[in-house]
Amino acid sequence: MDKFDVLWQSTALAHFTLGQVIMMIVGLLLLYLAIVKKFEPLLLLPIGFGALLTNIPLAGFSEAGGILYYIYEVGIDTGVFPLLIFMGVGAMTDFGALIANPRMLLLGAAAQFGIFATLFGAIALNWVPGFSFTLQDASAIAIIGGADGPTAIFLASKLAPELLGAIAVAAYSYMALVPIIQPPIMKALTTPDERKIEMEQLREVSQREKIIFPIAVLLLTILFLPAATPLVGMFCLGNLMRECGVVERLNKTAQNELINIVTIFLGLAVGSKLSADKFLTVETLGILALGAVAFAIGTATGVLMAKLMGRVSSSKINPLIGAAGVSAVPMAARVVNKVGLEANPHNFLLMHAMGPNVAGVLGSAVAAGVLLALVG
Amino acid sequence: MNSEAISSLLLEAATLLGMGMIFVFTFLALLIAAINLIAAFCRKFPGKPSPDGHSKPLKLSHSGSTDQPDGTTLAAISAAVHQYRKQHPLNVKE
Repeated sequence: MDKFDVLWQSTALAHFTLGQVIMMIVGLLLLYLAIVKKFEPLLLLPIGFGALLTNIPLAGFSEAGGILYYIYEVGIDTGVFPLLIFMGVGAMTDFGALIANPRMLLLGAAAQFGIFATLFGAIALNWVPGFSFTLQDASAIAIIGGADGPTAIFLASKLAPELLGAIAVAAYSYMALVPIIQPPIMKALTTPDERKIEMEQLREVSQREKIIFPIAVLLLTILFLPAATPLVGMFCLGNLMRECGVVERLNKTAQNELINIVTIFLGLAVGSKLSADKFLTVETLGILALGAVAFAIGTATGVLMAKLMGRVSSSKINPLIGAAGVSAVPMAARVVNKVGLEANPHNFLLMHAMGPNVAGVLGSAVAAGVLLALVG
Repeated sequence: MNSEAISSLLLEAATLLGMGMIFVFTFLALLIAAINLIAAFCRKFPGKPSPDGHSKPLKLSHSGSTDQPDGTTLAAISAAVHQYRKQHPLNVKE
């Protein structure tokens, strides 16, 4: 009988806690969303699997000595993984549409209002019993509104590591939900006539401009916001590798092999933070709610800013493109294109929306820098 | 958390909201100016004779890169080098 007891104690069945079971179900739900619903599968799949692994009793994946523990310490605690991903994103980003029409940067700036308004909202949630967000926590949550996974993870790892799992899951889930969250807001804030507006064709941008651009962005960041240089610097490095045309091999590696490898580990490390004691809290519910609010506000202010610019500017601006200001490249731009086509089947807004879209990436990196400088 | 602490945090959050948005707008407005400057610069000094388009110079630099010449050129170069190396030490000895 003794032997039987020892055997029983060595199975996971004897040690499962309710929390672990629930978190394993959450992990399975993430896998389902990734595989069946195709929601950001590249990230939700490793995150979901990481959640399964980290909640196995007795295996100790996320304790000192376990693989997920080391992956987290090496890659996320240090901030290295999100930065490498950002370099890859830089290598994938074409700033042509933005350089051709630089005023679109204002839309990228306006959409960041979602971040700062949510910061306010997160602190206001403290009135509700059970919530106690510090300014650091609130900043890390608010950056979900930047709709930029690596930026959110980078900031959360610096400001509120204990909330990282929930923040990353919220950020990636909402990025996947952009086609559902954005269109109703876009339609509510624009008239059918405004949605039909066709925009002038963009000018051609020379390779030289594209080469000088990342260097200029970095220079400005160095001068005015050194706190954002880790993010912006890696992003500009990737973009310069893409545009200069002399390091094609590095460019290809940055936007394919390297980013893929890092994505696997980043996802697993984020999944390792989905343990019951950290995730099954009322704060997680708050984070999920605030994230959705942040997205919605960012979309709304982007559209409103585009409307304002359309009124003042001599050239025509379709207010829909403002919604692309919440980075989420290229999903948000595609949504703009789709909503535009519904109103006017001959109106292709994709290229016009790419401008504010990539401006949003810069905008949220700058916003992250501001938060790091003021709150970090 | 008591209401006084929350109020002071809210005040700080409001300050962050104002400062943050002002900074983001100023920074990106500066960037607009920078992009316009770059465009003006590139119009004024259009560079060497590849003015049409952005993709061409990129392609040229690939096919023109000297690290992978085609087979016959490679053969010719290595034959010439071989020949030269063979003759050179001989000349010195003589």
